Amino acid sequence: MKKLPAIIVSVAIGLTVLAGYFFQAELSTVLSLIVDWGILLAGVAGLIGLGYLAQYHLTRLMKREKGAFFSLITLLVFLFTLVAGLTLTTQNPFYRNLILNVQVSVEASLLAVLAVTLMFASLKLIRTRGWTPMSVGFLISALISLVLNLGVGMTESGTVLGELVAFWRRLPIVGARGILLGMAIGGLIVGLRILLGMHRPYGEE
Amino acid sequence: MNDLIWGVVGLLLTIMILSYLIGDNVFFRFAAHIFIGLTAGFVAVMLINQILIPYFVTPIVTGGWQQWLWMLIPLGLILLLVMGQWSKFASAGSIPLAYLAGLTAAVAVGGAVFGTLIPQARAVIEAFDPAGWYAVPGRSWLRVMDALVMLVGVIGTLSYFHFGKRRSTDDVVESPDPPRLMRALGKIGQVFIGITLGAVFASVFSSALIALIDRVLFVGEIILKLIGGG
Repeated sequence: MKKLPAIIVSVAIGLTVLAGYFFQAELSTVLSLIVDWGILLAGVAGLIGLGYLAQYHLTRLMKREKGAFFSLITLLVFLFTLVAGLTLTTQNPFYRNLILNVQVSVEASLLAVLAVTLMFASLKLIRTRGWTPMSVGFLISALISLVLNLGVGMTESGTVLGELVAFWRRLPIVGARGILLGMAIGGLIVGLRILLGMHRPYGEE
Repeated sequence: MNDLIWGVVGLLLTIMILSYLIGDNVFFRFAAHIFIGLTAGFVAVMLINQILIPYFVTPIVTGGWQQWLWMLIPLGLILLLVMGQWSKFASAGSIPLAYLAGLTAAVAVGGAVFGTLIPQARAVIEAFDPAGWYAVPGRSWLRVMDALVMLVGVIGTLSYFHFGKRRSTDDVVESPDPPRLMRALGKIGQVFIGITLGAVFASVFSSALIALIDRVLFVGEIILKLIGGG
């Protein structure tokens, strides 16, 4: 009985938004209100999530657990970025430099580390997964795609070789299309289960 | 001078992160925690500036009494969401979460049907359009092959993700082996999934390699500037 109000809210909001796909003109005002409030709630939920992050590091710092120094660094940088962003605004040159130079440097470097990690992981693939249709398809496709990405085999589209290269380039779309359809069917089923109140991710089942 | 200082900051962070290649170490963790703190702070600023102020503060400050009344609903939901973080009032948080779940589910259903299922299924069907087959004379066999590969590949991929369940008479859920045809199609699907993941891997690897080259060039450039050669 305790869950009933939550189920009513979930089903009512879901069905109204779903009805909006068919009665756009009639429901546009209500839909815009529902979506705006949803965005606001998601934003507040995001801030609560960040609050939990800060609380976690604060607890680690207070209890002087292992890695408390790194928690202190995280908290100091977090507070500095937050206060500077709110007082100086995000358009301030110092703030822009701070975000760009730290974020871009770290993200690009992490991507660079990924190149090496990926290379070692791909070399270990057969040892860990064995010779399966998927691992064979993966290796052949990765090798051919890397060679094609280098510009090798660039021929005019009219020739047979050109057509075959174009056919190979279209081949990954087949699997991607199957994966997308599978994801959409999965999303559709989960969505319908929530809308019918059979699945309740907002509280205990 | 200003650029050089920021360049040195970028250089130090780059070296700290790249030091992970020789193993997990204190410098990598230091840079990673700076990144976590900075990103969290920036996200908080963006959430306040882009969502909280325009969707909540501005309507209250600039709107009339009618707008005020309307804003009582999201205000109530926000209060319930915040209250729900205390274990004593945990159940209060289920209403705003139910609101978000209902909204997300409806958007996901609409997106899945109108954004993915219909367009992707149509693309598979349209590959069998005879007008497309004969558009380029002498190449119709390639179009037919394209269409067949597309159909078999998509069905195979979907078959691979078939996780059938059966409820027996005593209400126990069983996972029986899929039919032989489904298993055979699943094997074909595996090849196509492998090909797709291989192509994705190649793209990500190429991008990561470009990032690695860019970082090495950046480090060289800043060091040259520091020693006065740049």
